[in-house]
Amino acid sequence: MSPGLAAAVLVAPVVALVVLALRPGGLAAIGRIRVHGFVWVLVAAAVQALRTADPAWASSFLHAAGGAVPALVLGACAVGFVLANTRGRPRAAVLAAAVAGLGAVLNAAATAINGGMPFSVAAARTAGIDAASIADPTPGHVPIDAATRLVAFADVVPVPGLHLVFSVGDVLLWAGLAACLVVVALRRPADVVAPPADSGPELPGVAGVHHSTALTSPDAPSAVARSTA
Amino acid sequence: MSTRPSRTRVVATLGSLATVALAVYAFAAPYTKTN
Repeated sequence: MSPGLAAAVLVAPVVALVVLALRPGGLAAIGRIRVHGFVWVLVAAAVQALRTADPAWASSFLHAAGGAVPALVLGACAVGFVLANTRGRPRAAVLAAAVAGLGAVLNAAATAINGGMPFSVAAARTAGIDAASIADPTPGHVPIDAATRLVAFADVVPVPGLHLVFSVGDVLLWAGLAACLVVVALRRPADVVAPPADSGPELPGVAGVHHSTALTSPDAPSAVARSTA
Repeated sequence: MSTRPSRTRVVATLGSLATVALAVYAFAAPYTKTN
């Protein structure tokens, strides 16, 4: 893995941890971070690794429909991952997860429609990527040309120090995931316990949270324990 | 009562952070040099 890709992979969790660490009680809140949908991520990561390696035995899958099939699989996995992380979550976390999912879908759409993720040759030069890597790009990427569609969602933003070119979708993905982690961590355990049976209609913003235990701190007493204390 | 986080909780948190990192690898598609 190149330093640029390593930095890209770590940016969301590191930003979330820094934001939490700077808040009062944030370090304790880090222990409440919970993310679901690991299987969706695992399948997508396997497809992404396959795209990058581009082995001959997987050619029929990787290049099916002009390379659109693996991109569509990635998009479907992104939707599954987002849905797995919206059940029982506060509204802000759902919104953040949706932003992350939108970023992933934009990346998948640009990749599917162009047979590979388009990248700006000029941006790649600005990022300091050598001419050989531009002329013979990583499998799964194609240079932008006159026939490229959805250019606005392609890799067009250079980061010179990291030899990296990223897209609008990447930014949405990073920001959405980091925000989702922060919101989930700062959610107080008291916010997700079951309301009393006679408490009337649910308040806006808490609908659906009372069936989930995913966000409840393992160290917190149960609703029953609290009501009988 | 001890305020030290349990091992299960630490593992769950680290696993969640690793899942997010893996999600970025899987769903983001930044272009980097090949070598």
